[in-house]
Amino acid sequence: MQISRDEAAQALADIRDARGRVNQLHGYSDAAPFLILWGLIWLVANSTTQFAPDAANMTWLAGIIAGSVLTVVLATAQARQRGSRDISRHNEASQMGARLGMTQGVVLVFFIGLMAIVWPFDARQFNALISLFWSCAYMAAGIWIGMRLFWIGAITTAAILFGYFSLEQYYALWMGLAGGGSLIAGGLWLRRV
Amino acid sequence: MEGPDEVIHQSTRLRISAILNALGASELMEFSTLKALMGASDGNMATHLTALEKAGYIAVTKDFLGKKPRTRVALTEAGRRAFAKHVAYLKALLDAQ
Repeated sequence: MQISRDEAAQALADIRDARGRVNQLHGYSDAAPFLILWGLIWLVANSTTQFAPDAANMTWLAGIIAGSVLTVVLATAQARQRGSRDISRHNEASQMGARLGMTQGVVLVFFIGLMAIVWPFDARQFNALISLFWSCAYMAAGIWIGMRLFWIGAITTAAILFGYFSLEQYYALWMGLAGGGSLIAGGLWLRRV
Repeated sequence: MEGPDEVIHQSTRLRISAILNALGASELMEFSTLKALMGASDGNMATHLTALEKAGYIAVTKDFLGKKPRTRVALTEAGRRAFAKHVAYLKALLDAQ
């Protein structure tokens, strides 16, 4: 059996492409539960803000704490699963929780600094800023992981900006349904091959 | 330089092997997922999976997830070695010319 230089180059390119597809598949399946989780939190907390504004702060606080804890639990479980599949990655799980906790701390410092700098602002502006931060983070992650994640972030970003500038009175409801909904739908889309 | 692996080098089987080789050592891939990644028909996939299985390069596991039948495939140790050798051959071929 003879293989030409061109055939060999093509075969190696096919192998790289196949490896890329598997990495993307893993990236999508890892990202999906986080999008669904935070989409649900956005849906519940924003709907509460719209219909029961007195309970909004408590709902957001509970949602963010629950979401942060579940994010660490999910990421640690995923790292543990990767470690059981691949022995060279078995230490990942023990480091994952600490790294994610520190990352959440960095994000918290960023938002506290942001609040201090741009104060005064109203709840709608603050909601839009935080939501925009995360939707743009999904877009940035999508550039590295796969374009589906980029488009989920882009659609969510468009929904946030549209809601902020066009739907002042019903902004929270819009953010619950369109913002949270696009994250949930996006998470379900990522689970499909 | 060792020659190419004739079972693996065929285009579809090369891509199947590359996808399965990118999984972790104990990771299995569902047939439906592999088929979607390959963009191939059931018949085409079955033909090439059978050829790889006959060569001892893949293991096919059939079980049930709840009441739903499930077929999963994985590269065997022999398959991983053969794939690594074939990739080394392709790289050497490019380097030599």
